Amino acid sequence: MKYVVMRDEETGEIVTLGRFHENALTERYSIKGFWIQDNTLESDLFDGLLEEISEREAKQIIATQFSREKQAA
Amino acid sequence: MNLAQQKIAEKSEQWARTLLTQAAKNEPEITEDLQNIASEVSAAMVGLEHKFKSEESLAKKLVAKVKADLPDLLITGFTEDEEIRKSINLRAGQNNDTLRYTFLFLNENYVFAFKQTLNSLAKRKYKVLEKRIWNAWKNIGNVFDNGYRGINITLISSQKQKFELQFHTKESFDLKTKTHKLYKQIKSNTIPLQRKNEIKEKLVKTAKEIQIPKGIKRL
Repeated sequence: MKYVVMRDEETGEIVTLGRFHENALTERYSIKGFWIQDNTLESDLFDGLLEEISEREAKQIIATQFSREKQAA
Repeated sequence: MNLAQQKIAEKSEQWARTLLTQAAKNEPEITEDLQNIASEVSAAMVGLEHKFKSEESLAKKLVAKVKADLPDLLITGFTEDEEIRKSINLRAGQNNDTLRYTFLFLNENYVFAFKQTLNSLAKRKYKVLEKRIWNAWKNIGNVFDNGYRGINITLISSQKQKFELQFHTKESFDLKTKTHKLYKQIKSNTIPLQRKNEIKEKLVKTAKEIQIPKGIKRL
């Protein structure tokens, strides 16, 4: 499994956290606190919009940015 | 179609028209430059008749991406209109394939010619978005491998026109053309996972016949 982020090209802010599974499943992390299937990540990959990150970085993003947004919501 | 979906469709169509109008204005200069560069680096430019993405495809692509963004956006406290606008603006701004070109290189010359092309583009003041260089050859055998073989880059011209340039060998271009419909399917959010997996496996298997350009993984 590989983790990816998509950033806002102007601000550098992470707008999507995603992951690619061996079985072709592609998911994005929802600020509701769980992973949801999202095949548009395949298109984002083709467009060069995704940056690979480690699992540790992904967990950090979930713990910081996404939990903060969830609280704000 | 509910109200939110209708708004997304309408805004996407508006954006698609705007992007295409802007691209049509800037295209002649870019095409001329790329034709000159192709001649310098011994590339064949193919698919020029398809250099503009169709308005329908562009709008569909925007709709799919905004729909995927929306469930999260709606719980951040903004109104639906604001969130649709925010997502469409982001997705339209990212778009690189309203205008797209393809260079074909000989397999043995691929890496050298790719580097030469980047130099020639820089000399003509084209900005290559470093983070958006997608070298699919490097993904062979890993989880990102979907059977696509080639390099796609995103550029910005001096008129601020964003566009895509793809680099293929004859074989990888033929493969892309042959498998185009299957790629469309795996990007769809309505395809069942099992079917997506089957298609991906088929694409990867088909791509095994493609000769890998020498030195490509070190790029």
